[in-house]
Amino acid sequence: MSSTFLNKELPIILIFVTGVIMIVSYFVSAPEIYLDPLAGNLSQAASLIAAYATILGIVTLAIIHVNHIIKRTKGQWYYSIIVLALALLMIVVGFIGELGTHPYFIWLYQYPLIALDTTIYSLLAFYIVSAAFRAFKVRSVEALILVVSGIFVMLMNAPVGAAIWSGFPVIGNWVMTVPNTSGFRGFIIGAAIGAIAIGLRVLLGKEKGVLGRS
Amino acid sequence: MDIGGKMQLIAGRIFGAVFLLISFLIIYIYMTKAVKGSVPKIRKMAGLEAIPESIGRAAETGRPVHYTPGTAGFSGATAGFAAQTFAGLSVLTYVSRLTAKYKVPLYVTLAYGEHIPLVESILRESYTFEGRPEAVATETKVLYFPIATSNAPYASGVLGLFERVKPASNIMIGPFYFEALAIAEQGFIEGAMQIAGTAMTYQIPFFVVACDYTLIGEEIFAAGAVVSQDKPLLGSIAGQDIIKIITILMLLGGFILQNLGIDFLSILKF
Repeated sequence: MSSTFLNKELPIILIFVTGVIMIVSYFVSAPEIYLDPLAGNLSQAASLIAAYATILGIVTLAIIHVNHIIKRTKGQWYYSIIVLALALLMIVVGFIGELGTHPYFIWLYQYPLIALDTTIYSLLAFYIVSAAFRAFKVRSVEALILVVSGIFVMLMNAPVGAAIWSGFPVIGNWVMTVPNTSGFRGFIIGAAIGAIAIGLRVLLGKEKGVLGRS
Repeated sequence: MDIGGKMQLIAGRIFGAVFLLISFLIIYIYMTKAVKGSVPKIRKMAGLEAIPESIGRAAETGRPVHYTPGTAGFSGATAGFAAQTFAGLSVLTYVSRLTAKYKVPLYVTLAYGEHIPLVESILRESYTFEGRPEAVATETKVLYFPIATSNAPYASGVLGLFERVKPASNIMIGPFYFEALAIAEQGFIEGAMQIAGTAMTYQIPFFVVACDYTLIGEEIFAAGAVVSQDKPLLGSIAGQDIIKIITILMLLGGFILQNLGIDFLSILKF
């Protein structure tokens, strides 16, 4: 087989065949001709490929950090040691006994990892404040509408809003259910049609980025 | 509904199947028309127009460009947003050609391992196209910050990177979750010119606030076509517009029929 066929045509054929099977299986039920199990198997195959790709990613990550340590990259190499040591620790402890059930592994997962996750997530509060400070500067009519709407929605959600004036929850609710919902729906319809178009372009092999081409 | 042989259309999805087939057909017709020479004129998108400017700025300041195609994988819980990742990868082809041309360092950060081979391949092809294949190793870095229990490891990885390399340009096109605001705000703090795009409804307001330019919803799906100026891809955007017109007519028709007491919704649920 020529390299052109293997590198260019075969991936497009595979994408087209698997894509069509997945789309048809969503709309059509045909257990007697094994369409449903075939679609299920293809879906599982995608998960398996993704799992292997994760291993590839971890190897890439390890290579990058080992290089940082070897080269003593300024401001980086000691963090690389921490990353590699902790990754190794999680992997080793995860394999002790039954996979991922050892008390040490559960402790590492529940206390340091979840706590770190939550810490990063909670940083959002500060980012939201700084972003809101910029967003709520009234420089145009649109910005004024945004600020007024925001005030009503905030006072709708805060119990003190209804205590100040019973109209705040009513107007806030109207803002959320009428202009906000209609805007959202228009947005979702447009995005869904865009996704259909890109889906067809991918199926036909016209979307170069999907095939790793420039 | 029996459609012959041993196949049955699943009840409740028949209208969807018909609509999808019609949509595919319309888009295909317009792609074919474009190939034959009837290329539609696409309006300019400020976000895309700003990409060369932001990379030029990076070249002037000697600082790098950061790019990410979003934080959704091709399988599992986030696979439903893969179309947005495809859109992000399409724009990466354009961005990487520009960074190759202007000799600007490019950092591509990824949250899923399956994106790595695609991104590396795009970078190789772009730099080869610009006649500098050797620069891939020295001027580009593909960094993988794997997602674990949440997107926090990816977010913290990118925040750390921003602190260290201080990018002059931050381009984020694809699906994003909470990390959208964290990264965009950090980019703002570092003084980067920021161009973002997503079809994730809850993240768009954050991008609008924190970034200089935002591609909203369907614009990201059109972006790849616009930057490539590929005729069939441009044709597909015209096809999209026809489907939009049909959808608007259906909305209006449904509104009128429903108010006249005719159950239009039952057709959609067919």
